[in-house]
Amino acid sequence: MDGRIHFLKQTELFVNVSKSHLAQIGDEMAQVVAKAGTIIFQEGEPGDAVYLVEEGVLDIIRDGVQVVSAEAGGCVGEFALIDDGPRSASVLARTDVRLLRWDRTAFQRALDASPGVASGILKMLTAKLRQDTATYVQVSQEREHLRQDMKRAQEIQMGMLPARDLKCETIETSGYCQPAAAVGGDYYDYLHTEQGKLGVILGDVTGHGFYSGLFVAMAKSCLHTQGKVDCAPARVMEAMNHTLSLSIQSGLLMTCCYLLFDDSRNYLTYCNAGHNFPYLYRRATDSLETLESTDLLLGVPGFETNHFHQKEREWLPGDILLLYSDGITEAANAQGEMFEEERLEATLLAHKDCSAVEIKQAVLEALAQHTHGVEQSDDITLVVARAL
Amino acid sequence: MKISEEIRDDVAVLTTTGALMSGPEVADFHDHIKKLVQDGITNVVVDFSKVKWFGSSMLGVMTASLTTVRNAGGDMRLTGITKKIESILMVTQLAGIFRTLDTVDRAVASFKTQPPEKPSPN
Repeated sequence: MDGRIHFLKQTELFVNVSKSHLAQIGDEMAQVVAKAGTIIFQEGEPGDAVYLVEEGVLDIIRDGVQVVSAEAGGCVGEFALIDDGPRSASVLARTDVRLLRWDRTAFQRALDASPGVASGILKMLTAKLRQDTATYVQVSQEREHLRQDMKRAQEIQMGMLPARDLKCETIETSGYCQPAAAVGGDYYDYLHTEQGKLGVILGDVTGHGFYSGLFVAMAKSCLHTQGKVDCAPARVMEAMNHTLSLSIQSGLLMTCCYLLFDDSRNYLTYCNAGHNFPYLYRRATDSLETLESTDLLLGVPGFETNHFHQKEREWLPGDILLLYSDGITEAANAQGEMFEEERLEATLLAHKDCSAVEIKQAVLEALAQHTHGVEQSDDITLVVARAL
Repeated sequence: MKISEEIRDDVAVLTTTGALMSGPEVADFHDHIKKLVQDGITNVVVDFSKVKWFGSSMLGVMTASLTTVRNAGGDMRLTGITKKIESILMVTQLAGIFRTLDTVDRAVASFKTQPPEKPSPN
């Protein structure tokens, strides 16, 4: 028992408690031995005892995250006994441990009777409060660094999108991209080829967030590199597919549609790798066509060397092309009802005589009217091109 | 998203539930598949009949899971495909990669009638 009194006297909790009172407290404590991995108590449980660590290390875990540890001389479990609330954290033995268990009744009796015990508890709580404050400051600083990193990543990603809409003698375009997270997985771009053709691409990486943003950067780099070698849509898609497949560990894929406008022939050539079918409004027939997928989406493991296909469509003055991501058609209102393709088609047809910018605005307004303030859950991207 | 598991004739039948399968939690699905493969179970049936829709992030997880089981000599076959899911598989052309069957029973039986092709040594 002298050994226990000696141990207790060395702890911060009992430094001001008389030896005779310590002998009584020591008698009230029971030794508990537990193997590494043992749960001493669980978050949310009612508190029935305080534990002092005689030997070994305990991890204090909150919401599945280890927040602090307690070593020899440390104390856990006092919060729930002081405020009668549930356990604020779980405690797990990191190593084999030897503990002293002091049950609720004896603990509260000592707290009421002994100013020394009360003073020890106050000192211990103050030390824990200081530690919590230091941890809070550190976490806040790390969070701020992360926020700054995300802001820079967002700026870089937004910088990958075209700076402005295009307008020339034969075509005008207008694009929009609004990520749901700080960094998104949607992408659109224009490519001016050496042969004087205009390329338009819209892609959607599965998911959104930081990794999706990196995937987008790879796609853009590949598009502009391959575009200089051979800008044919199928060849560009093959190069992008090969590059994106190299990152198979990511588990990310990309649906993508790339079109090349050839004004000299009044044709557009496209390759659609598993992307939502873009709409082509034909002025001559006053009808809406879709550009069905020609190939598998990009980045599927095992299909790195896939041969891609391209198709042609007439592209005449007054024709309109609308590329979009599923963040538009799947945008839901408060009732869970999605925007769907039908509303998109109706909006396009209702504005078939408008400019590319006006059509884009009309779609965004219809979308806002539908969702009516419901938080955006996916990236929203569209590109409208109109033949002049 | 919740995943329940049942083993039938050496085939793991995974039933996924949840109105929307998207976001970070879909990674749990691939982790589940990896654990099955670690335990030597490489033939998997995924029943989507209790899922109305899944987000695009699920596509990446599904193809990664398919690669995991095929590299181990097995296969992952789908059942309970709703019209919405069928549509997304068709648009992305993943319908040509995933084998889909009408019922769980048929999907489980298909592993006997049409066993998975073994992966090439390379």
